[in-house]
Amino acid sequence: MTSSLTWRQLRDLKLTELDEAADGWGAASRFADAAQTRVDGDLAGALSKSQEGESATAAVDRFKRLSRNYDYITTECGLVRTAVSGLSADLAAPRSALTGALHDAAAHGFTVHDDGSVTYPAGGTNELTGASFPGGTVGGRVSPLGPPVGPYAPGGPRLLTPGLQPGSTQLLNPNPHHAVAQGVADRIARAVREAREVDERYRQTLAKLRAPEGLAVDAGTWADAAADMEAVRDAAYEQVKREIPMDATPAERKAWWDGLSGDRQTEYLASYPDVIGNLDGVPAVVRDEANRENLDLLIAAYAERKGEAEEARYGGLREIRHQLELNAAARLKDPKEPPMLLLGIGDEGTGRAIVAVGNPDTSRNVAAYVPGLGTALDDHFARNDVRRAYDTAVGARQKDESSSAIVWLGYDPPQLGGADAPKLLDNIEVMSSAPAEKGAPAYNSFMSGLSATNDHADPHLTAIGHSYGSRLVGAATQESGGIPGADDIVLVGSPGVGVDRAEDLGVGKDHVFVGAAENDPVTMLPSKKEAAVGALLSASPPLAYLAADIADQGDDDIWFGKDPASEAFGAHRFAVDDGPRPLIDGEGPTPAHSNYFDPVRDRVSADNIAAVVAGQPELIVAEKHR
Amino acid sequence: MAWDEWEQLKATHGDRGSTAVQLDQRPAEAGGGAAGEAGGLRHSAKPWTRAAVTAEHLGTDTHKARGDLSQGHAGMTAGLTGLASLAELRTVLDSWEKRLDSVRDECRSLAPKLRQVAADLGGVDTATGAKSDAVHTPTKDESR
Repeated sequence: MTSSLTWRQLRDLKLTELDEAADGWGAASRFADAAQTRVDGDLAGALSKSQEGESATAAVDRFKRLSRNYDYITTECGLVRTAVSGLSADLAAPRSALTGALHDAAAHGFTVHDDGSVTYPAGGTNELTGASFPGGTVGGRVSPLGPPVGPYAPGGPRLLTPGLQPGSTQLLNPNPHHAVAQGVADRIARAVREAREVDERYRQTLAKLRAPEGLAVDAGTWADAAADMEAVRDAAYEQVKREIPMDATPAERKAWWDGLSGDRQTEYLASYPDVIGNLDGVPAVVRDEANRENLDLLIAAYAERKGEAEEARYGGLREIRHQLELNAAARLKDPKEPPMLLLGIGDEGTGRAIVAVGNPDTSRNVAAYVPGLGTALDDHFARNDVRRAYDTAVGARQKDESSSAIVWLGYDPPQLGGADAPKLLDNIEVMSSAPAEKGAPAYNSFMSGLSATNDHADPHLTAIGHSYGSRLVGAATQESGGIPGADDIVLVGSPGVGVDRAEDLGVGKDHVFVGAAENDPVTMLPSKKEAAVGALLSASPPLAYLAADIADQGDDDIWFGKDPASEAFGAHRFAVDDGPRPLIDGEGPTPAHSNYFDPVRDRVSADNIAAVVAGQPELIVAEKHR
Repeated sequence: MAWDEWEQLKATHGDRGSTAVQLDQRPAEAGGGAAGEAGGLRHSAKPWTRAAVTAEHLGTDTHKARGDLSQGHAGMTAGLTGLASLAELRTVLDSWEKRLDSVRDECRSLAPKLRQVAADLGGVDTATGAKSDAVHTPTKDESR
């Protein structure tokens, strides 16, 4: 620790000067943000003509580099702002503690020395002699009853009272001033130590925020920026909580965000893209903006990482960016193409990604689909699960243009194998309700956020669970208050939802819709009573399928309770294609499990889901219960 | 930043909302002349002239932003004696002042280059078959 701040220096700090400096960094960040907008605006028009000669190409490249510089300055100056304002705020507490101690010292007529030791006057009365007990000097201790440590440790020239050295029974000093003085000295020592820790923490963090010379902004620059953000987040963790209402409800956060000045919004976006981007209650376009920034930072951070899961994550992050680019290109060609918004991105657990197709804040109908078994943030997710949201949105928009569909990977689904399997205890967890119950509160928070930010007074919200995702939806319905704002629930390819009756899902049984393909073995997992049969599933899918089929006869209980497609469950069962048979039809063990959203492979199912999402259940093609 | 600038920002990231409409418009803060330029975009030189103007403005504005940043730290020394982090902050400030100076210099140096491209294209009336792609938009990758 190299900070050598003294108590006098701490006392005399003018923290408002730090606040002013922080504002300066915020202004620089905002300026760069606006400058990048201007450069990009011109890039769009003029610089598309780079084919017009070498000088044009060179100019375009430099203009692009200029844009990248402003982007980089926006991010880094935002981080410096956070660090400096965090430094100021984190120093305020020890400074206040010191001020209080000095005030008490003055009130008692004590003298505080340069080294923080405190001299007290004679006091009390010796009943034997009638005289006062002598005064003395005490050093501060940072822990109660411990010896003076740290900057005020013994060794320097100090004036400790004879006989009251560290380790002696100081509490027995008969001078009543002694104990008070000791308390004052301790408080001073603790305040100074805390301030030094803060000072040193931010010194180290700020050292990472120096700008490299020149104009280069490349992948390495962004990888550094990602590391910088992590460093600032670590140092200024208290500041994040001061500035961002992490513990508030989504509705409260919406009010908070709307109440911020435009300057503040821009600053927070530059300083905390990872926080703002994933904060339920913040408007969708803002989250999207923040997450695109964060996506770039994550991609830069993961580019260098080794390991199967890390590389899978890198592939997923890159593919998401690719999908966003494809969407942008498609929208230029066809204005009816729904926009894609990145409502969440992160690397905790098996990865986090929330992608909306259609703006969920302006749409009257919004569906949030929870993916299931084996899903992780990887290339497969970015193409196929995002595609399911896309297909659902497009299908619903054919019925009601004001529709949006979202894929919500906001939890750690059980893994069946592959890159992320080592993160889980073993494949048996597939059979546990724990991941669903753990993820349910996050899903409910997200749904609550959708209601808070939606422009419509009473948007039509649909919760969709596929495969194990339906178990999460089931768990979410059992949280206090159920799924916030949900009007309809769709369960497809479900191994059961942990609830035995549709009416217990909190939306009324007429608003629960189930799709279960005859050839989807996941919808026929044997009940736990037949666990011996179920254990065969992971070992040998074809055997298990046959075994489950036999074991299930005349039995409407499956792994997580009553089969949602059964009459006893009491939901609407809608028609889906039977799908290919496992293995026999040559498409692997569970082909029929993956087609529910696919308008090509299972038109009737995709149409039925779209009808629910669009709020037009009368269009549903029904199927009799199992 | 005002909300309409937000929208602008969204548009330049090229992904949603009124992207197609926004991209061929000049951001409002880039200075006058936005109205009536839509037609001008048909001329291949016009966007280069516009980019040159932007570069000039940004040279000026970046210089000012750097000055404001320095000014924000002007009173810092006396009231913050003893802070180790303050010395570091000064070093950080120096480095970013240099970076902003480099960016400013780049803007100033880029402006005449952009004008030269416009001149090479022969002024406003030699649209070399650029009508159809005059508002072609780069992908996000290109624009970053």
